[in-house]
Amino acid sequence: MKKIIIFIAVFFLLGCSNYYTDINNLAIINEIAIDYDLEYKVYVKVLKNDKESDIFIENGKTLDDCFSSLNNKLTKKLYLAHLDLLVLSDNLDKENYKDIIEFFLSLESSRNTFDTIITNKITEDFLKIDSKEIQNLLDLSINSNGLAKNKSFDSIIKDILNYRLSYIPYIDSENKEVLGLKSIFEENKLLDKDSSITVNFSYNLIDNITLLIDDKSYKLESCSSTNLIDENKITLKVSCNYKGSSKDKEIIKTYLSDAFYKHIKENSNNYFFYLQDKYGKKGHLELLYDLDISLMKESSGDYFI
Amino acid sequence: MKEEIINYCGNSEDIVTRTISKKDYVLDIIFCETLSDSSFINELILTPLNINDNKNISEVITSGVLKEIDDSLTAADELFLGYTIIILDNNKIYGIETKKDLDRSVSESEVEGSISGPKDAFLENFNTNVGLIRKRIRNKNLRLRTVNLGSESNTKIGICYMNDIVDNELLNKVLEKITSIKNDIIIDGAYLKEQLSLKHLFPDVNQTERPDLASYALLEGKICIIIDNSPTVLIIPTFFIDFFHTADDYYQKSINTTFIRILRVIAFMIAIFLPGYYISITTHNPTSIPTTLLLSLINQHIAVPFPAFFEILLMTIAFEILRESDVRIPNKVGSSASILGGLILGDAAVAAGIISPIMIIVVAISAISAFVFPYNSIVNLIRYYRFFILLLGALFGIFGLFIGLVILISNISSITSFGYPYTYPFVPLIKEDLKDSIIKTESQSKRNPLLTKKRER
Repeated sequence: MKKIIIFIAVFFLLGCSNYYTDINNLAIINEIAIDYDLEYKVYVKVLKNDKESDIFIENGKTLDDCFSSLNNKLTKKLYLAHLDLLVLSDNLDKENYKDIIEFFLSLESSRNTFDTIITNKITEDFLKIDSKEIQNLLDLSINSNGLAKNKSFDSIIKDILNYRLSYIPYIDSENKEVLGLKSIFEENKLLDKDSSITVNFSYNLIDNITLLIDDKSYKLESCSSTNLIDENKITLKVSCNYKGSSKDKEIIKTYLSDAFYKHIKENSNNYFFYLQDKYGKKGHLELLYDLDISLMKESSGDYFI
Repeated sequence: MKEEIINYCGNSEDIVTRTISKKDYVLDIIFCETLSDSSFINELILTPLNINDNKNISEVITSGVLKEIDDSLTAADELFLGYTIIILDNNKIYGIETKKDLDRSVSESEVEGSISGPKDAFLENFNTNVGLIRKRIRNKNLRLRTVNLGSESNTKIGICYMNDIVDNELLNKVLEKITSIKNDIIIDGAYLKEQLSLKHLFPDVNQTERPDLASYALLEGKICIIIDNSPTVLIIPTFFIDFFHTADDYYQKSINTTFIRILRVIAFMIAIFLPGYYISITTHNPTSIPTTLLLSLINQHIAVPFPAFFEILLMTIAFEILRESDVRIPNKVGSSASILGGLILGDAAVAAGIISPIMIIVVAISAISAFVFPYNSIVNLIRYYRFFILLLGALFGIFGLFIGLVILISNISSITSFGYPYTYPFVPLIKEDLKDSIIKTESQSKRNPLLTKKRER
């Protein structure tokens, strides 16, 4: 009996032995950029060591074609578990996004936790930038102007599955500057700065922010936002600490109210899906937005908005 | 009669005979010059005989051990035990102990060293070994039973126990097992150990060359087997946790002992699992390695023409050969052999691109971790499991390591040592004895609750 159990166990376990690959037969891919112009153009950054890397460019009808030809060229197994950054071109459409998601989900070695950005022009030089620099750029952005934060590929898939859209950080490849968020999948548009800030507030991504209103900067600290739903009324409540005068607070309040209402008016359908999913409401939900922005005096010079 | 005895001894050339004719009687003196001390013979036999004409030998010779022997055959046997045989008028045979001291003096243990504990160790002499234990336990309840084993070697075996602590059931079981051994030769404790052990890799009979550890074991309720001509004493029963204890544990603060024991458990896991873990994460699960480290490993391995599994197997086997040669090699050339094998060959192998540096580090850490244990039997166990886990890791990755861990735990759990669970005191959990398991706390009694419980019942 013991021998039979051992035989059966070994028989089934032998399948695992096919996964044996020596590490020197792995091509460690650190960054991938995908562009589309009648066919896919894929840029792949393969790490040689800490400081050196090679960039390979492949064209193909499908992403599989591109990676197959790259595989043949490298004679190594493409290893995507250490992928840090996926750069997408801003000319990709809904079908391209479907292809990309399908491709990465089908890959056994991909962990899908890599950051994803969109850029206006993919170049070899842009890919030479260390992925950590891009991540730092986004970290800096969310903590200063509140325009964009790092977005993982996993959360993009989740957003698309839940809301049929996702907001991805958009970086200008020439100036290496964060421009804001781009809404992808159902719609394909770059949000303006105010809308990007509003989206980040509604997702509770902003902790500290410096608002630039009429060439004057206002620094808000310890920001947090919550969504409250009461039958058919949805309230987005934002609170921040601000050290300054009451007049300044009124200016900030007016600015944020305008930005929120403008964005809600232009993108109301998205909020609907987001909040309906979050609070588990089924069926038709009548939306009434009541942005509750209140000004509270905490101590001398410190206020909540 | 004299000729008869010499014939029994096969006319061996180290048998010396001398005839002394007195006024009323004739004495034939026979002794083995390689086993008997000539100064004893002069002092105890020849001098008293010269100055005394009394025919009553037992009155003339004042030696402590003098016995009358019935026949020539027994006399021949006694000759080889270091006795001098005196034949009076070709009729009566006497045996006087004139044994030469062929043993070394009590010295320090070479295998189970101690920083602050006692330095004496067991010898090849049975009586000295018993004395070293009695010196520590001056108690009438310390009992010794002896049996002779080995049809050819006729080796004296002593079964030592504390009469007021030992479990009688265990004692009977041990006695029964020892008396049933039918070997023709018992030269060392290892012969007996193999007969007493069950047929599995795990050591269930421990051995020590330290009298203090043997005394501790006796006070716990264990039984010590002392073998003549063996510098080690066997301890029965033995639990898996015993191999994580060393002599020094009892000569320092409890907190230090606890720390060292935790370290030993970690070392045990490292010694068995590290090569397997390395091979599994590099060949099956590189996802778990940070990018920078992975790149460093790739760059180290890139010039090596062999697969990682073959490389680590080669290194492990090379290490085992080196270790074995180090044990066999004479001390005077030992250090140069270690330098040649360890440093020069290792360095040259890396320079030649046969082995990657990380592989040397992995095998070295694993090997050093095994050296934490002073007991060779547990080191052998580590060696076999290391190869087994390495194979599982290469075949199935991290999943294989878990299979190996399950097999290791199930094997340990399924063993008993003379009817006692090997996993004591964890399974079955005996809280009273957890105080001297991994964590050591101050306690006044060494008694083992599991071993003494049956007796009390």
